[in-house]
Amino acid sequence: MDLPMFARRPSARIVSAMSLVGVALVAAAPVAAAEGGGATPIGQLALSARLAEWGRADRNPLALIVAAEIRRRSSVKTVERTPEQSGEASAAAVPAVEATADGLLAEAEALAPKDPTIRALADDVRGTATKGLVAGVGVSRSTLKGAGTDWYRKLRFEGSRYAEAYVELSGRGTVHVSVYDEAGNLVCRDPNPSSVAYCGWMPSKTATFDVKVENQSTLAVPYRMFTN
Amino acid sequence: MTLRILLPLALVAGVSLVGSAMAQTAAPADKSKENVSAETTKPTGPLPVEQLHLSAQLAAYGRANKDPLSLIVAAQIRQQVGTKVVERAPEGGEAGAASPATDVVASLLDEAKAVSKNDKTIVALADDVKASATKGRVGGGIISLGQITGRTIHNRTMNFRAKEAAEIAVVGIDTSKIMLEVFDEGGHLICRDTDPAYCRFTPAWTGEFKVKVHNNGTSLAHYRLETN
Repeated sequence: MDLPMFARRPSARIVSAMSLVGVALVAAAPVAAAEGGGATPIGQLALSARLAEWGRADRNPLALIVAAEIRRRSSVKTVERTPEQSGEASAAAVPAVEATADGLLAEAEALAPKDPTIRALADDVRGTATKGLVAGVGVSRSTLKGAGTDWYRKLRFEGSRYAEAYVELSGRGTVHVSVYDEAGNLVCRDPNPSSVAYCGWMPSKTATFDVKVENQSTLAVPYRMFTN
Repeated sequence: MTLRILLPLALVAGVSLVGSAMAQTAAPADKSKENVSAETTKPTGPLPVEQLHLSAQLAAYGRANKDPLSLIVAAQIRQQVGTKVVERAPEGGEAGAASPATDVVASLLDEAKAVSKNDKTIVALADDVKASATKGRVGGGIISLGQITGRTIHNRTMNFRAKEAAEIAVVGIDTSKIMLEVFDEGGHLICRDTDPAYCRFTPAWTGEFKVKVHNNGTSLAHYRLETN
């Protein structure tokens, strides 16, 4: 089968972040602008997650294959981060299922087990050499307590580049992410009720920021936090 | 997203320009506060503009990476959103001239074919999408076309209802230098995003919002303004 090759060059175009509600946005000194995310590794992870969610709801194997292809491009490095935690310690945790490119491809094939085109497209993604093409993402893992909040204090972001913080629940639930500058001003918030939350902002200088991750569910839920 | 509810038609009717039916609900006296509700109830169905935005993001990714499958899935997502085109001229301006790409789904499919150099698998997938009967499964998207000169801001005033998700998206048709800003009637910046831009929020009370579309480029450009 003559299948299209997947692109191998990094994306150059900005893809938008989710809405950014900045209560103190204008006054937040380190924030030069709230640009809309981008063709950044983390922005692409967020796009992959939302596309996968749509693909599952629509039972669309093609969407899951594209989501896998997008996710496969990003290379992540595990970093150690320990949040300050609050919430219900005794709450039961939802099972952890982390989204991976291989997992998405398996989901796609399961939706269309007898479709040779889907199988061939999935194999094509597996066989391409794009894995880890885009580097520079740090990922840490933690578990939000039921109705809990995790604070990551004094995370350092460079002033010369777009800063991103992205949280992906490894199970069902709803999460919010907010970012505060050193003066306590809210500089970014993704209020959209979803299992993923993305914040992107442009620090005007290298500085530390506090990232707040809020669990909107009463069940504990594991998650990954990605930053650049 | 797994969101699957059609927004009430009442909400669609509630989104209107100044000069049309104004909000029936009186705004609270204290407009020094932001008109954004902290309550973000997760909808049980898809939000139309959110899906249009996902399609726009994916199309941008597909173009940047020359990935025909992304463009096909972007067309599939868009095809499922029932939209109607209405004229909404900016304040002191005229409604946009006819867009060179009015039929976005057909354009995306044509792009996919072109990017793949008419690969037979891609052509077959594109033709399947074109022939599918899923058009307009999710209703509620209202689209207006705009034409904007370089370094110009288009202002529109819109009403959104209390406690209901308000969605606004702007996509540059022949530019990527569009920026969206939303202010409440107290002048608070509620949301800012860049092309393809998406803002979603829940008003605390029914009221007016100022929607600003910036052309940060120097050339005449066309854009699509999408609301629920």
